[in-house]
Amino acid sequence: MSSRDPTKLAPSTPYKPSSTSHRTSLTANPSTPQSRFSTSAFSSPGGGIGGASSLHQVDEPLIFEIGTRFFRAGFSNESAPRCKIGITPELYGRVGLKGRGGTHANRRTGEPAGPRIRNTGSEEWELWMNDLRLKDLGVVEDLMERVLREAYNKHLLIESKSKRLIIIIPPVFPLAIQTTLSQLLFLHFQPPTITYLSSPVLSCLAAGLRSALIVDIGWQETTITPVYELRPLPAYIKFSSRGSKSLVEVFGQLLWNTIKPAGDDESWWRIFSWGEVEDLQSRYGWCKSSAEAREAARQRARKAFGLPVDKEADEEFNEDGERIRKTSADIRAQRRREAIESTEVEMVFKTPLLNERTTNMALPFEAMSVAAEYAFFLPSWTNVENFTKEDGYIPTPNVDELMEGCQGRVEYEDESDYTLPYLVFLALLHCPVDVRAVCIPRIVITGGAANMPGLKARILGDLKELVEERGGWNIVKKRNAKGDERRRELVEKKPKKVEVEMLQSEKDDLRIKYAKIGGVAPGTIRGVETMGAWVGGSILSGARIKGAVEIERERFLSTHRM
Amino acid sequence: MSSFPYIHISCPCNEDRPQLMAVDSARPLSPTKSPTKRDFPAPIPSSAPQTPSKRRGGPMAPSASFESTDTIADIEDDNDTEEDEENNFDPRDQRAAFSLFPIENLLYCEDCHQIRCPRCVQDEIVCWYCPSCLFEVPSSTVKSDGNRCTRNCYLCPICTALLVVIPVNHTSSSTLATEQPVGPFNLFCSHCHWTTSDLIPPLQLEKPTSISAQLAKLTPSAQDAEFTRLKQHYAQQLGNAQEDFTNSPAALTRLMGLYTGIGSGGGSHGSGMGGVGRKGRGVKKLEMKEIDRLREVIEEKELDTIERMATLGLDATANTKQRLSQPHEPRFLTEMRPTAVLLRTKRSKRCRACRHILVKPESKVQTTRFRIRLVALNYIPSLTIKRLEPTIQLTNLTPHKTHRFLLTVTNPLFDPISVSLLTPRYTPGTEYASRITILCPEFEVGANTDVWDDALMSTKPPPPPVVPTTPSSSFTGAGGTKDPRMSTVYEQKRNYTSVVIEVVPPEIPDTRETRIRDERLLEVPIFVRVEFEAEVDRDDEEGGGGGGSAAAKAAAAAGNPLGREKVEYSYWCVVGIGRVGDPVEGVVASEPNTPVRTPVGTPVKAPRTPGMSKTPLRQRLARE
Repeated sequence: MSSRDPTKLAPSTPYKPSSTSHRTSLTANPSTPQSRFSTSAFSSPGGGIGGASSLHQVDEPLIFEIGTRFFRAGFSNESAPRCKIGITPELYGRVGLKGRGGTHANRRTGEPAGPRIRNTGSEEWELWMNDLRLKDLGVVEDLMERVLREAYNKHLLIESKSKRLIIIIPPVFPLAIQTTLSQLLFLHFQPPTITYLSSPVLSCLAAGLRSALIVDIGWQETTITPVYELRPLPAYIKFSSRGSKSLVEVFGQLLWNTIKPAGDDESWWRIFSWGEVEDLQSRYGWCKSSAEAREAARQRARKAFGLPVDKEADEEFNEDGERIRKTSADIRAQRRREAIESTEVEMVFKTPLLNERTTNMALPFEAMSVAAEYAFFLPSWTNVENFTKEDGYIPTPNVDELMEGCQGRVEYEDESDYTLPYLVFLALLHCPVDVRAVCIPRIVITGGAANMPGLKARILGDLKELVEERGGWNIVKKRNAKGDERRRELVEKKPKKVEVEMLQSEKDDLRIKYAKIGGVAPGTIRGVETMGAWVGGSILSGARIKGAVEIERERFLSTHRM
Repeated sequence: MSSFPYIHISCPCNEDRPQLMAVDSARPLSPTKSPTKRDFPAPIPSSAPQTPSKRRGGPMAPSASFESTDTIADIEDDNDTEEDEENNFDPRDQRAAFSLFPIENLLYCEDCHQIRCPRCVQDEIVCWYCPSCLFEVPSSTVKSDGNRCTRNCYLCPICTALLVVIPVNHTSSSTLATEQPVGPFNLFCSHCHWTTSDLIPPLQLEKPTSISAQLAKLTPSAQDAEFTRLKQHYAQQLGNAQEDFTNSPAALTRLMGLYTGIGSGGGSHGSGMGGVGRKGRGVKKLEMKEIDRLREVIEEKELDTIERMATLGLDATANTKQRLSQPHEPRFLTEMRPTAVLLRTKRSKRCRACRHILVKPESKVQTTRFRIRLVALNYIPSLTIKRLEPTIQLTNLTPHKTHRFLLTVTNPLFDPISVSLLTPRYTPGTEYASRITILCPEFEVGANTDVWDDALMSTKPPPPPVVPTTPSSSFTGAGGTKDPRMSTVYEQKRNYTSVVIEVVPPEIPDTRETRIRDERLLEVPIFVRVEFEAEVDRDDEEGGGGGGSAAAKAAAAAGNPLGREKVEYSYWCVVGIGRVGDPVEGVVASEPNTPVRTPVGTPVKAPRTPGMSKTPLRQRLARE
């Protein structure tokens, strides 16, 4: 056993000469006419020939981003990762049995299946879980090895020993997995050093900012991290289990609820393929705008109180009964609404466990936005309805709940329960005031679900609304705004008119100044687009900045004995 | 189902991997282990010092120490069941999926005498080439080319078929060979009929050659532009203040300035404020700025995307696979770009433990030959399993019935090998364990001599069978486990030996509706141990070309006057026998310890092997 122990390998095994001599023989008679065109505008300056280049290449690290659902790998100084590998159940399968997980299994005819019956929920679509009790670390290691091998051998086409690694990990990452990962890499792929970087900082960097509030809507959770001067503030991180996964889960549940025969309590992911549902959601899911969602919520509230739906009333006329003149933006919005209303989506799902092999569904385009509502913008106790309902796909809330009007319930008291905009609000609220001031106009929404059209705008819109409603950054919701005002009028001394004017003019001055320099006034909620954490890592390593902490192979292996 | 039975071999690297600490004791630490010495009653003296064989899992008993009447049951009786279960390889374990391979996927290290799977070899790239045009790409340009072919090989972004260049005004008249095709050209997928003219804006090339350069000019990437902008910004910043890019020691100064300076935060390091700071502190160098013209989130833009999605429909959007294959991850099919063919590599593989080369392809791209290729198929005995009774339905095994299968071990080596097969009495890892018995766990397999030798040998009388028995009586009357006839092989020919394996599956409920895993799937783990005496100078040993380490062998031969060494190795393999079907009336469970012996109605027929049908059916050779 000891002889197989890879740690005992002599680091100076004289095997290099053979490979280098081979390479020189290749370059000596270059048979291929080369068009030295570079597809990447940012090709590294390295890439000389022979031994000199190998020294140079060591400097250029590889950048890996380890996500739960996707693994990205590429070279530094490039604008996009070379490969993005999504975790699929096939990666969990045996080599010889690939694709034979009983794909033809039929619940009634009982055809044979492989060791695994196909539909397994989300757990075989992700690399690791935050709850380590639910997943075998050994499996995570094996899977990572498989993914890394594919990345190296198929996409990066580089020998793993020569390259430093920069690995981008979420801000809070299980230490056990990190150790596993380091061990795996050092034993099997033998990079000289590994540097771990935290993804929010890099997202911030890739947005061109130095301070930001990073809202990373990841697969299994959303993390909201304030970054101040390129430092993450871990004490103020907020987590929510609302993520891309919950989005897919809700969507699948909605679909299954729609076609489910009464009394069938099968899980949706055994009927539908998780991958298909996710694919559909990611390519065609969208998110309602803030105004529309508010209107819908208002209608629901009216219904809860038994009031009639007043749809046309406040669109065409204002309070005085005058016809509102339509602006061009209104016309555009109208056209957009019509386009959305008139569209229908035809979907085909493979449903081998049902009677029919495939199930066709035709849904209005609006249905594709419902999952996002459930996943991010409704309280977590909301029942997931189905797509057959005539009057909207979101249940009418209880009157009591509306009266409460609160963001949480006692029995659900958890940050995961809060809607995403409210959690962003809380995250900002809990920050130190300086950080908050810097972060409010620099909200960066990133992560897999952020690509969903409309989601970023929706979160920011809802946040704006929330702040307006609260009258500023105040945890206490105003219940009786008018009464408070009256009381304050009675109690407080009214400032003199001159003072008010001075204050106002000062404010105006500031505003003008900010406008002049192209900035935003403090307190303006503004979202900033980022290119993503991977690109941030690419920029950072391209700038040839040494990582503050590098894990060296020799030292790691000498201290981490198996 | 035609896919049953199958045999997968577990690479032994599975056992040597460091057992990582479990965060919670939710699962046992070591799921797989080879049988320890306790499974082998007689310890053996340590092997000869010159033996390079790698001993794993404790010393193995030489086959001679077993009594010829021993059955597998005897061996197992020596151990308590818990120990037995603990050491067994569990094919249902999730990790097992990562160590099980068909034999074709495995390599063999001659020096370690060990199987090597893709995980325990180290790859070294020999050359890079484009799989489409087979042109070799020198290593210096591989990375700068983005690992892609820079010639004219492009793939369809929709269906990943190869694109061809055709003129846009492609008519049948213009295809005459005499006429030079005139531009503009576009790329056309002959499989799904996608063309670059479908894009918005349409992509048309002026020349039919040097497509890469033309495409790069025609498709400026917004992502690249943004990336350059960011990079330039940071480069500028670094030029200003090299030292505080990451460490930012000026943070405190800036923090102070926040209060003394402009007062209200937020803007003090906002764009442009640094340069015109009120105090004019002259610490311009320390002032880090964020990039000008931030890309803000614009609601209007996102709503436009939604509207476009609604008007274009689902079929106009790219699916996940198509999207991920493009660097800019387009949402609509009209934004897709033809993708250049990804290069491939020829790789040589080294054993991770001893660094010997296992596979070395020829460096020329066009050849498919290998200089060295030590595939496991040439070294380890291959197992095959077939039904003994043709009535057995592999996909519908009857519970409680004894199913007999013929396990054939074929020897690829030129030396005779002695094989011992061990199997757990009950299949591990499931609550519905099937009973497994290998009737003759220890036997010899003849050398893989030349077929002509065999033909010549066959004129001589075959080796005298020690226990000649009639074919039909050998199995029908075998009631007791101690029956000496049970330890005999079923059939032995030139380089293969067949033994009988009995499987009694229990009644298993169909769990496919309720569980994730298929409990009815019957997979039998078998521990195979092989022992043979090999000539140290293995020049005559077939190995797909073992010339790479000839020098090492010569040295070993010099140190070994006998010229022969004892080699042994062992591995787990998993036999996927079939699926257990619904219980059949009349076949009921018997006592768990006595195997069910349903009378075999028809005399057992040997499988029809060519050249065998007319000779006496079985050469039953007892051990020794």
